[in-house]
Amino acid sequence: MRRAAIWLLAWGAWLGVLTGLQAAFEPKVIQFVIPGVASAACITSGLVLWAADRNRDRDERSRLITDSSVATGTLMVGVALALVGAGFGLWLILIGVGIGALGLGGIVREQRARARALRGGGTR
Amino acid sequence: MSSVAISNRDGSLRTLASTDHKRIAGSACVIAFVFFLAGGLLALLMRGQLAADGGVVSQNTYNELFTMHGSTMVYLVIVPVALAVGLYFVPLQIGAAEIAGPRVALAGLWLYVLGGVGMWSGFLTSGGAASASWWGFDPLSESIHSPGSGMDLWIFGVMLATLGQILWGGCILATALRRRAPGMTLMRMPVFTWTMVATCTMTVFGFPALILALGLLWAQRHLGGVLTGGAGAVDYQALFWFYGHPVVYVMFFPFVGMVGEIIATFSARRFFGYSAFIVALLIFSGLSMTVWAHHMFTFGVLSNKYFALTSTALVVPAGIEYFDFLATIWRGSLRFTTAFLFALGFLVQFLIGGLTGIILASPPLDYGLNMSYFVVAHFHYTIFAGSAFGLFGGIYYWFPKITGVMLRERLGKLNFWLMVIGANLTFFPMFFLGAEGMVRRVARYPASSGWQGLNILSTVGSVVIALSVLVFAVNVVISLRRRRPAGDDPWGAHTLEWATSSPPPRHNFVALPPIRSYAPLLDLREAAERHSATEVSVTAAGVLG
Repeated sequence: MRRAAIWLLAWGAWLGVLTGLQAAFEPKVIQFVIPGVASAACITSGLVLWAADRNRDRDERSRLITDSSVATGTLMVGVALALVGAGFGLWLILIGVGIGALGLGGIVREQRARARALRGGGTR
Repeated sequence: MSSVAISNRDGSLRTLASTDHKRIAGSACVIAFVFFLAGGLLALLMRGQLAADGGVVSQNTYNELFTMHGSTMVYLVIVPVALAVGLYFVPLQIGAAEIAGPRVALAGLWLYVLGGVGMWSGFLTSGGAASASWWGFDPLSESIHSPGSGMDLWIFGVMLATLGQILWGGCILATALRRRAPGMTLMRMPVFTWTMVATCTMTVFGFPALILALGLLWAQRHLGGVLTGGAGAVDYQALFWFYGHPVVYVMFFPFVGMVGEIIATFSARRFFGYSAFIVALLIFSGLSMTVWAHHMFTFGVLSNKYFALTSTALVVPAGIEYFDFLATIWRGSLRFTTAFLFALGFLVQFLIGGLTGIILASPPLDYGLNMSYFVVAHFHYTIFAGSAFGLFGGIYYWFPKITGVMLRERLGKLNFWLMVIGANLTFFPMFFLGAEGMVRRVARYPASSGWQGLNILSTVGSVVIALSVLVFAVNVVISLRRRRPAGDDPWGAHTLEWATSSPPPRHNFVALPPIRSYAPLLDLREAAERHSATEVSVTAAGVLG
């Protein structure tokens, strides 16, 4: 699994090389900054993945996942309304925040149900 | 690693609340098809306008039509479908029981849908929908030139849909890198999964630039002083095109992967040059992040030489991939199914788009052709005549796996030929129109130009495309009503998704075959053939002895 990080490291490095090549062509700063940030972000992700997988070859544990999550949809509706509210007024932002809070609460509830199921060693 | 579901919901909410990657992807594809029909309707209106040389809609309405057509097709159809197919098949192809981050993937679906609804709700506002093109063209998109909430809704809609796509990209990438079945090493992942890895890497590390650009655009519209003067316009476009060119490859690589799978299966041959293909993909995807400013050649402020060099260099990995495809077909036992025909259509027509791209990668030529119909023809050959053909190939190939029933081949072939005729009739005349000087985004053109004949031809082609889509819809309805069971592997395919039932169960596999290459099912078949051949020769030896 550690090899998985190689893709991100190689891709980020290749983008970095291509970004660096621009030096020979009298570039503007923005030409360096945008791909440079993307390259750095990719290499950093690769390093994080490498470190995360360092002491763990494979996760053999069972995973418990919810089969459906209405709360996730509710949270996203809240986020969307709050974002659109930036253009339409505080009232919409507040409605969005309220719906988002409901969704967040639902996700917490789902997580607690998951924890209970894990403790019980079964599913429901 | 296994997965166990906590089932807590039933009924109608199940589909839009399901964390099953297959249901999420299925919902996304159905919604994308609705957007495809809506975007196609806008295209037909535009074609009607140009065939009649004006008179159908006003210039302002025409601006809304092309803006929403382009925005819908890019942000709400091709990119989401490309990622959704990955969402469905990457876990299946690598033997995973589940997508990584199923709730995150579900969040992506909701953001995508809400973004689409947001963009289209602009039509309900008094000022109409956004009209500053699919790239939101600063300063045309600023509040002075594009007043009203339609433009704001477009900005938020695109931001939401793009955020959803980044979430999907992250889930697929994490799945491919961390959830592979035992034995499924990186260099045993199928070609399609590899193309999705490249696609999602570009999505995760390229798409945030668009969200930043749109955030700045919104701030400029409402607060001002963010994207000021010529420098502001250049900065916006630089950020936009850092998304806007990689997205072309996000709309390309997954279909390359689909076509690769289809060609190998229907040529009954192992994919030729697998390792070279993966290396080419790495080079290709990295390069495609550094060609973005060729959209800005005529600005003359960025390094045209560098971007011309990288843009032209794209032909090297593209050539390797084409060589692999042709070598896979070479001396294969070809089966000309609908999926295979669409794959061949992709190869031929994308080549036309690609070769005309080389012309546009040259700054002196681009100066003459920029903003003309030549560019429109070029990108429609890549995105429609190329990627959409790859997509239809993928649909005909994987529909039996997704639904458990076969699509009708005769209707499929009618769909294919109508689409070939329609696509070429629509987009080929545009090369001539562009070369003769017809510019994009005009609702009328001079009667003396002599362009009406080619425009009528193009409009007739677009009607033929609509007809082919209708045939496809009829095919789907008939196939789902009068079901012809597909079985687990109706094509004699090579990859793991065909080792499970059709449609696959909730957690994808009951048991996995041994994985010793990127084509485990082909390995099994070859081993069985070797075994039976050995038995025959032993029997023959016994008889002779």
